Amino acid sequence: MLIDTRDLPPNSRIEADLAIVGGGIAGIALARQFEQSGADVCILESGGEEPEKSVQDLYSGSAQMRGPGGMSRNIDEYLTSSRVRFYGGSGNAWGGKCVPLDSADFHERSWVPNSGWPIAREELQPFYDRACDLFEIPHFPADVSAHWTAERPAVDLGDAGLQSLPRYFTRCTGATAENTFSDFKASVADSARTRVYLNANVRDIRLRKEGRSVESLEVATLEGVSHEARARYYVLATGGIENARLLLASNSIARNGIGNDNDLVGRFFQGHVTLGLYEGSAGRNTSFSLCRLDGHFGLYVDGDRQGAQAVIGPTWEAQQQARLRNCTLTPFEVWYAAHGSSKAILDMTRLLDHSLEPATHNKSDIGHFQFFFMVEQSPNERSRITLTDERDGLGMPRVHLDWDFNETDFMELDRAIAFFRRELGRTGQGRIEWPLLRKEIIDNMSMSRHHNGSTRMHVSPNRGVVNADCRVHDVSNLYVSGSSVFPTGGIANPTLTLAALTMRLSDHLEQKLRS
Amino acid sequence: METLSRRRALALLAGLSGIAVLPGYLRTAAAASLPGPLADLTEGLDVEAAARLGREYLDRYRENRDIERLLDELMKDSEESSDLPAFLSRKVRSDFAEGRVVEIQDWQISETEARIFAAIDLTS
Repeated sequence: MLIDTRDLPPNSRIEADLAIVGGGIAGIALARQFEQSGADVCILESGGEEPEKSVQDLYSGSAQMRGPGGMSRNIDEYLTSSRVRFYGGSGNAWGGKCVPLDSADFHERSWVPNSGWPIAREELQPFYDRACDLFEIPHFPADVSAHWTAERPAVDLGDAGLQSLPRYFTRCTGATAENTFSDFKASVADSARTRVYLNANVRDIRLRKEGRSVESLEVATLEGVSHEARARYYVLATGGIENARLLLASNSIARNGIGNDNDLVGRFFQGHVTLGLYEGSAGRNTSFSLCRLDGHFGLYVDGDRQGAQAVIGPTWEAQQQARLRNCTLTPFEVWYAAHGSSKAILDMTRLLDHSLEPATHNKSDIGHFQFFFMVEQSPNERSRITLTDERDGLGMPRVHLDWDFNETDFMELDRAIAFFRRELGRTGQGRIEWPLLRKEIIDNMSMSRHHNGSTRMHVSPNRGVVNADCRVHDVSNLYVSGSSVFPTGGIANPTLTLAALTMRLSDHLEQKLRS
Repeated sequence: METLSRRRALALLAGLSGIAVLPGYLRTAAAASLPGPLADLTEGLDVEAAARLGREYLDRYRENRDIERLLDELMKDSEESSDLPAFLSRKVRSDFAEGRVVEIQDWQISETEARIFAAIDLTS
């Protein structure tokens, strides 16, 4: 049932077994899991059914991207352009790319500071499967190599420490198939046990006096009318920046903000950026050649964002051996032909690399592709979200984001590129053109709408905001759903993983609600 | 290592640079022993572009301006009977594995490839 909170009398009380703050993909996916459970669920969504400027403006704040040596870039606009604030949330604009995190991402790696999840990739497999069912895409086997079959072959990467990694595009997004996504949203709105409150902004999480559990939520409309929501359990699902903001701003009992006794809320923010240059035939480009195409490369450069796609990344074994961060090379359609020096290099590659290939190989079949590169950002406590003195239309403090890349991040980017170059060359696969200079990196980072880490998961309250169940440490009935709980974000698009974690959380809460 | 390899190296260069600039006696020898793949390459190779790459390499590694020395380096450890492109290909792979690489025009190539381009520049 959809309810416009503006129609409620002032000081109404909303009651439910489970209150979900945020009606985006995580919130809706969570509510759907309770349809058959008999539990009363409410979703408190800040926006209405359509986008509105005054609502979207609640995201506004200040933001800076920083690099080593004083590099800096103003990215204020990123706060509003990377999120969508109406029912369906950023799912309304999501590109739909689905991929699980790699096994490597879950490991504690000595060469990646602050890495390691308290759960393993294998443990998430059944929840990934359920998330895939939700998005109506095929399952991802835990063993990536099992994905590739005779009908769907990966390119032959020989004995390079590289592998092809699958991705699927779901139609369950507002950007791809509005009707399908509308059905997804309606599946909850039409449920008898779930009430979706639109234009319902949670302004404060009120703890009981002892500070160990949530008593209620203060709900406000932009018109200035307040209400109260009470539930047995509460889940924040407002996105990777807003989750932290709401915890920090709820400081009437916990003076540093909820879950913030150890000054961790908002820290360790990690986003995903892609790096590439595409200036065409007369300019500089990030490109690579590949010698063993054998006609299979359509899967890698299919740009229509439908069905399947593949990218190339280092195997876990190679990451361990080279102490390498997770990274990927994503090819896309060629739109300029190599000429001059580039062509001479490609011709030489064709001659020499192909000379050791079997006679059955089509030796004229060398590919030249543009690509973008991604390498994971290590969790860094200086990369953080804080509150400012400026207030939004609800009277809440606006955020400041310091998205900080340190010297090691840049060095690891260099090492990752060098690794790809070495492996392709060492195995006679191809060559890489990489024109980006270090001083150009920050300005050339293309920012994805992926916000990870600001309420990170760790078994210890000294090192994380939520525990392995996604419950805020020391608060018995408050949970966080979304990519803000990721201790590390790898290079995978986060939505499938946040949906899988949401499935896992729903099982946990269902048990709690039954007891 | 020895010496017929040198002649075959010149054949390689002849193939790469379209033969035209080599002395007549070498041109004949080169054409006679030009392996098939080299002939394929010759058809498509932009010799001027290849030479430009070679020049950039030589500007940085001036000691390789001596063609004799360059060919010695290129053909080091080759055997009389070896298939030249296969020999060089193995050498290229080994260069990458052991970090003997050069960045030219935003590409990373092996030292061996760079020397081939340099030889094209020196013989064209």
